Amino acid sequence: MRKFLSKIALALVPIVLYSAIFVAFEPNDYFGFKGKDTLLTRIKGYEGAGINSIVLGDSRLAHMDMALAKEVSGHEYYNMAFGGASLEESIDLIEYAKSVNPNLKEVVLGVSFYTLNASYNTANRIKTIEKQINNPLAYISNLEYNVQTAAALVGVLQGVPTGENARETATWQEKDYMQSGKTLPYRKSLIAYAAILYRACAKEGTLPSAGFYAEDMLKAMDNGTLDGEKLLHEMQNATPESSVFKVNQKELDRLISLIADYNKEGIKITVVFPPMDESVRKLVCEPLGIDVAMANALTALHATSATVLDYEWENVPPYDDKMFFDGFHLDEVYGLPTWTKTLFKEAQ
Amino acid sequence: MTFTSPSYLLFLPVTIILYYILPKRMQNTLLLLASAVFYWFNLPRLESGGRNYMPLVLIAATTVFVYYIALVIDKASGKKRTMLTAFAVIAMLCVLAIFKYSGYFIKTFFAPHSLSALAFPLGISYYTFACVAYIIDVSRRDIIAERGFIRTAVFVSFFATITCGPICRAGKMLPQLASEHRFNAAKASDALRLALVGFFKQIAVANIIGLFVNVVFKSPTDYSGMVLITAAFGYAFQLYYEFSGFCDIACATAMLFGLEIPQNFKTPYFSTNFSGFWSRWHISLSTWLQDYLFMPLVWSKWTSHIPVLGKKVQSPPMITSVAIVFIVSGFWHGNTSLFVIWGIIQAVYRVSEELLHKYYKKPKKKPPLLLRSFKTCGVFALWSFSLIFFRLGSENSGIGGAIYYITHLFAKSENGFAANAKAIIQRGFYPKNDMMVLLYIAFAVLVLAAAIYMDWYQCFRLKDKHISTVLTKLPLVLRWAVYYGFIGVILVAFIMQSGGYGGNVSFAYGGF
Repeated sequence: MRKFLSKIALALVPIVLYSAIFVAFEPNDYFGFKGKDTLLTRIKGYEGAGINSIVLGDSRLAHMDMALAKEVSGHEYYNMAFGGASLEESIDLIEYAKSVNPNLKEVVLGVSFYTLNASYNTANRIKTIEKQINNPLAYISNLEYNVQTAAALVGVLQGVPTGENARETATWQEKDYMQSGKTLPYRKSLIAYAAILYRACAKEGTLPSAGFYAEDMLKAMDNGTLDGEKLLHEMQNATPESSVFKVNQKELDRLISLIADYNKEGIKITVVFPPMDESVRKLVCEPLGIDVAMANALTALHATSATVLDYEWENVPPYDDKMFFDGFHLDEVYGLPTWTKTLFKEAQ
Repeated sequence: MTFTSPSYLLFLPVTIILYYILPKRMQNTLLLLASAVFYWFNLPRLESGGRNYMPLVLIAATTVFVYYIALVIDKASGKKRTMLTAFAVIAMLCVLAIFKYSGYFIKTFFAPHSLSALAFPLGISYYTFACVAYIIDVSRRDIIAERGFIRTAVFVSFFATITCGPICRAGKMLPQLASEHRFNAAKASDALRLALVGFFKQIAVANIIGLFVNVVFKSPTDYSGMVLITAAFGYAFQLYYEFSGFCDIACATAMLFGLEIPQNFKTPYFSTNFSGFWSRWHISLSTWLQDYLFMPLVWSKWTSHIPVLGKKVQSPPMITSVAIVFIVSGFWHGNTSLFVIWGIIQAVYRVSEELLHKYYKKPKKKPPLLLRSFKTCGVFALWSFSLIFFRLGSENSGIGGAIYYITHLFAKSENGFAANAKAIIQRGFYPKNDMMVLLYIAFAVLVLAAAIYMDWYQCFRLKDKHISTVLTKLPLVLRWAVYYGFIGVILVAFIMQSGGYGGNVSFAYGGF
């Protein structure tokens, strides 16, 4: 019997080894050994956190300092916003938060023209994450996390820094506005970012492309393979005919109905449209007619019982481009704290 | 809970430990309790979130019925015995028909009705056939009726065989349940080796191929040409490795409790004709159909009762009985018209083969290699073709779907095979990058090649002794290298399908 058990133990060695490597390098700190702040740790941590006010939305709210929010508002907020969150996912997350905390009192939900774009259809991750939170094996066996774990392991073996938790902050200089000796009206990184947003809202092939991410576009501008001025010109001269932007009516209706239901239960909902840099407004929204397309959605939201704090279209704060890390994201040092204070003061 | 779900990997060791720790007279009671727990885990969910207990009640009622009717039949004689046997068999087949076919017929021919929402009881096709065989064996006095209720209940509901068979015979199973079992480390090691091969077939081969095949069969009208042909062949491999892997794990599970259940597959894809194929594929069902349907059909001289014709045809022609057996097999497999068509196609294959053998002389036992390979490939291609109906039947597709599939097999595809295949792999496996698509193809080809080689070795070198037996003969280091190889490949495959939590893995034979 002892021999048999030792054979079983020996057979389990590869599984134990794999599990150890996974726990050491997995990307989301599921097991809480590394003290990392990730979507999974945020969602997992909410149950039992005892905080009745939550913040939801995409990356524009995900990096907010909750200590500062508490200082301004006088009470604690729990941040469940995460990068790339679609409206569908955010609504699912509100429902999840309410299911694990029946005392939920307040929801601050970030939306924007980008998350209201009907063609912004990311696969809904919330149901999968809920499953993973309740079942570690579903997490460990997830292919995407294993690919990320393998990449992290390879990075460590090659001595490449992982760059985790990099803060979205930078000090911009004159060269960041220059291409081929000419000064562009916007920072190159902002033009690159606007081009990415433009592509998400316009017909295919209406803009020169040099990659999937803003970093690729910026790199192409820096090495001269992409003409920033031409790019700028193409976007400025676009017309609504090039646009494919349509409000995601299904999710908007779902949000409106959720607001009505939660209002009956005494849960306060604040819908926030975070500020965006002028480059996005001038190079994407106005040429493609997104501002017009958004008007009905804004009217519909204003007609609900929710508080609507619109810094995207109506109450645009006078932030200069140096306060933005990119077209959408406020700089975590020079911009985000200022807006955090404004938001949580006005949300009260 | 299935054999490959993590909960089973906890459930099984706990049951085994208790089985050998508890007093020997408690062993069958424990097996019955474990089977009830396993069955409870697999009960369908209600909309309210609770479990639907109907299947559990049904299997319990079947057990009680079979236990008592077998005892009564055993004591009866003459016409009474025949009548009781007929009553029991018809009653059980009626219950099977109600649960298996009522939903389909009501949905098809009438308005929605509460009967159409009857929960499908797990394993009803398997345990009904096992019970029918038991009653007929008692009636034929091949065996005596079991006096122990617990033993009968374990025979009916044993968790290792309830999901997908094999269909056990009472004559083999009940005597084993009557004896005490002590832990045997050597046998347990054999069982684990068998299970390892079973997991490899199921997780690393069938499920991985399934990541491609399932996408195509979910919406076949999106594709044409080579994609449909590849999916049809792929499904033939997926079904075989899935089912035979499951049966290996079932046999291994039974072995861990000191029980022996029949082998269900003997490398059927190396058959050179359909007669051979059906003696190697789903053997427990084939032998059941032979013993309890084909032979009685041949003996019964039922054709003599047909007016006018009966005077000319006293003995039923063999090919008629063959055709009936395969059509019944189609009905057993599923409750849609496509399964019946699949059964008819099998009947056509077998009858055509019989006619060919009748009008031309029977082929040589050992044909030349080239001819043998040609025949093997031919049988596989015809079988794969018939499985198009089988798979579309599992997907609840109609005859129209099957007609589309067949008529577009050789149609030109719009974007070309490579682009379509890439898009399918990205949908079924990993959506983001091309490198992962290449890794998937390489992995799938390698595991399939390894699995086919294992089958070839088993068929031609081991004379159909299970491939796992060869592992014990390897030198220690090589043996452990092979074990680790299997474990590593299974682990990678498990991750490739996100453990089944986010992928599209399914088990075709679990629905019977």
